[in-house]
Parts: sequence; structure tokens; C-alpha cells
Amino acid sequence: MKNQIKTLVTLLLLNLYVVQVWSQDKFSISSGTVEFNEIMAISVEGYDGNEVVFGVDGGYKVPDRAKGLKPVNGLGLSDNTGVGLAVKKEANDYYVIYQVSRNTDTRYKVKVPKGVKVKYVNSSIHGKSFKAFNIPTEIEAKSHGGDIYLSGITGPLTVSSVHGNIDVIFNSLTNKLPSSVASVHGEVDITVPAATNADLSIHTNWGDVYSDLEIKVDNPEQMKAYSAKKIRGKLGSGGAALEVSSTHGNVYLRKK
Amino acid sequence: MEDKHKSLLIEYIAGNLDNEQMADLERLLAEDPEILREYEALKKLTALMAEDVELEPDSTLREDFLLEIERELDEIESNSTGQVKTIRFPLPWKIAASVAVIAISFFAGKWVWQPDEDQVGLAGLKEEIRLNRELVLSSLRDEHSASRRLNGAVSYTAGSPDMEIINTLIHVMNEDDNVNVRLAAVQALARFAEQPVVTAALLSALQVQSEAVVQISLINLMVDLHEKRAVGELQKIIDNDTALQVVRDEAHMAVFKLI
Repeated sequence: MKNQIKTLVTLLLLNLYVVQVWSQDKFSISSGTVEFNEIMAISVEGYDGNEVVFGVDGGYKVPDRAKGLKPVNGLGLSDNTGVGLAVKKEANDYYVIYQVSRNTDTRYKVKVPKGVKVKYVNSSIHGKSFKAFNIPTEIEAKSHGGDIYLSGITGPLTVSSVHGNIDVIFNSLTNKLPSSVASVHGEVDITVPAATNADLSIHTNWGDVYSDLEIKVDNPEQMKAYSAKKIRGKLGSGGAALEVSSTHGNVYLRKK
Repeated sequence: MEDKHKSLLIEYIAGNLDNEQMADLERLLAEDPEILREYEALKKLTALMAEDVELEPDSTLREDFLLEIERELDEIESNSTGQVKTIRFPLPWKIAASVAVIAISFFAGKWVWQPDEDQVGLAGLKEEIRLNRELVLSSLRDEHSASRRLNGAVSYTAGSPDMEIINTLIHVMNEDDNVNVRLAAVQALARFAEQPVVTAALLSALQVQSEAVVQISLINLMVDLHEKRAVGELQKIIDNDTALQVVRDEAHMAVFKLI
């Protein structure tokens, strides 16, 4: 009995060790772009390191029959991270990370150096969500069905979704380049600091616009568009363009 | 020192004293150092005054001056017969007036000889347009940053169409890797929708567009423009079984609004 307990504890510890090793796979990059391609649920966080570090939340499982094998996707890429992801270097300082295993319960948690641009592409109606926190560089995100949630960011952004909701909470808004956030059927919710300066454009065909910010509208008569609500104006003294639209959903613009 | 001694010293220096007065004064100069110092001071002052050259006016100036006085007198005489009152300004006023005339002449000359403000403004405007054009084109072609390409599309605010930019925007609308950049290109092109080449490109994009978000934006743009020529293209989308249902639904709604 004593030996059985020892064996069990040893196996448990070994299992934890293996999961730990697999879930902390990483590669070095300090500038350039990391693209997350067709990953169903992922949370990306900026940090002061120089490696992309992978982790999982919700567990990563492979069937018993797959022991000793690796998942492979339609592009012929196989898991080289140990957590069902394939990292491919597309160009100098440009890495693409593909999900090669359909682990529906797996939510990836990835740490990315703060100097690296982040790009997310998911064309699936079943996509769940892309979240990004504390990324002080350019972010590109495109989803079909999944929601997009960005917080602690500065822009510039180019974010779009067909059905997903988009939430963006700016720490501050860069004045160097424009940002654009667009959804067709989802709701778009933007939060900016009260003292933000931006050239604002809001457009919705079927939704409404709600805001607690003072928008200095450029030409009020241009709001009289057929079956659409178009608002062009300035936040504060104006600055880089901030373009926000939802064809069928509401647009919320609020101050932090 | 007494004033009478000072007067005697002045007369002595001028050589106007008799022998007795001279003898008395020379005795005082020998006995009294204060009088001697005063004598030396006065002597230097007299020498300096003697060296000071008196400026005599040129004889012609004198003649002109006299002629001018005569002319003035004649004028006064003639004006008094005509009951016209002449206002004579004090000299400071005349000087001020002269300064004012010179100043006005200076600034007027400067104004006349400076470059035409309109020309400067036009040149500046042309340069601004050229720089904006370069910014738009280089930004739209930036392969490394979607936000820079977006900046190219939103920065194109010129009132008249530039065919190189229009063609680049058409390419961006259909081919750019980023949906938001394509959307911005659609909006930039929409400003020139009355141009045949732009209309044709927008109608064509309804079929070739691969991004649902952009397709839906194009469909709604056709409605905003009341572009009835789009109905045929929209019907093709509706009939296309491979098109996304969300796009086909939007096309249905647009046809309903346009016909």
C-alpha cells in the first residue's frame, strides 16, 4: 500500500512537471510582429521581457491514442510548443502562431514583450475571444464570430469583427497615427481618458450612439444622413483620427 | 573768491587793465593761491573759447534764406487780400510731420517691393498639396504598418480627385490585408463617387470584395448614394450560395431600399 501511494505521488508530480514544461514554452523576440492566427480563445499580455511565453488556462488535453504523436493542421504545421500551437517564422522579426489542435476548452495565455506589435486573425464564426492587456504598440485584430477585448492600450488600432462585440479601454490615445474600430453586428464600446484629444468619427446604420464625452461636432447638418447616424467632431482640441462604427449595433463612447 | 577779483582776472586775460591794476592783480596772484588757481582755470577756458571755430553759413544759403523770406512775405500779403487764413505750425510739428512722411514712404516702398502675398500663399498651398499627396501615397503603400496605411486613407482630404491616389485607393480597397484600411479606402473613394472610374470600381468591388465587413459597407454606400445601377450586382450577391448569409441579408435590404 505504501509503495502504491509513493508511485501515485511520483506520477502526479511527474505529470505536473510535464504540464509545467509544456505550458511555459517560449521564443525570443524584442521587436517586430507576432501574429496569432486562427486561435479560438486567447489572452495576450504585454510585459517587460524579450520572450514570447505560452501558457494555458482550462487545460490542454490530447487523446490517449495521440501519445507520442503531434497534432498537425491543414497547412502541414505541427505543434512545436507542446500546447497545441505551431510557431512559424515568416520573416525576420515576424512570427505567426497557429492553433493546430481543436482543444475547445483551452484558453491560451501568452506574454508578449512590450516592444512587439500584436496581430490577431480569426475567420471562424465559432471563434470565442481575443483579449489583449497592456500592449503599448500597434494592435491589429480581426474576428468573425468572436469578441475582442482590449485594455490598457494606447493604439494605434485597426480592429474589426463581423458578429463580435468590441470593447476597447484606452490608457491614453496616441496622437501619431489613427485608430479604427468597426463591427457589423456587434456592439462597440470605447473608453478613453477624459482629456483625450482626437478627431472623432462615429457611424452606425441601425444602432444608436451613447456617450458621456463632450463631442464638438464639425458640421451638424451632416448628421442628417438617410437611415444612418454619422457624427464627425473633435474630442478636446482634436488629434489623430479615431474612427468607430457598427452597422447594426450600438456604439458606446465613454470617459475613463 | 570775490566777484570783483574774477572780473579783474577776466579783464587781465583780455588785456584790458591799466598798469596799476595789472600790478595790483599780479601781487594778488603771487600772494593768494586761490586767486592763482582761478586765474589758471579762466585762462584755459578763454583759450578753449578762442579755439572754437564759429561756423559761418554758406553765402548761397544766406541768399536762399532771404529769398525764402521774401516769398513768404509775398504769400502772406496775397493771402491776406484773399481772406485766407494760413496756419503756421511750430517747428517741432514740422519735424514730426517730416519724420512721418519718411516713415510712410519707407513702409509704402517696402509694401510695393515685397513679393505678392497671393503668390506666396499660392506657392505655399501648392507645396502643402504636394506634401499631402506624397504622404498619402507613401502611407498607403507602407507594407509594415496597417495604421500607417489607414493614415494614408484618412489623410486624403483634397477636394479634387488625383488619379494616382484614386487608383491606389481602389487597389487598397480590394487587396489590403487589413479590413479597417479597406474600409477607410471605401470612405475616401466615396467622396469622388460621381467620377465614372470610382463608380465603376465601387460597383465592381461588390463582387470581388472578399471581406464581409467591407462588402456590407459597400452595400450600404450604394444605398446612401442612391446608386440604382448597383441593384444588378446586389442581386448577384443574393443569388450567390457561397456568399456569407450576413452579406446576402444586407444585399436584400439594400435592393429593397433602392428599387
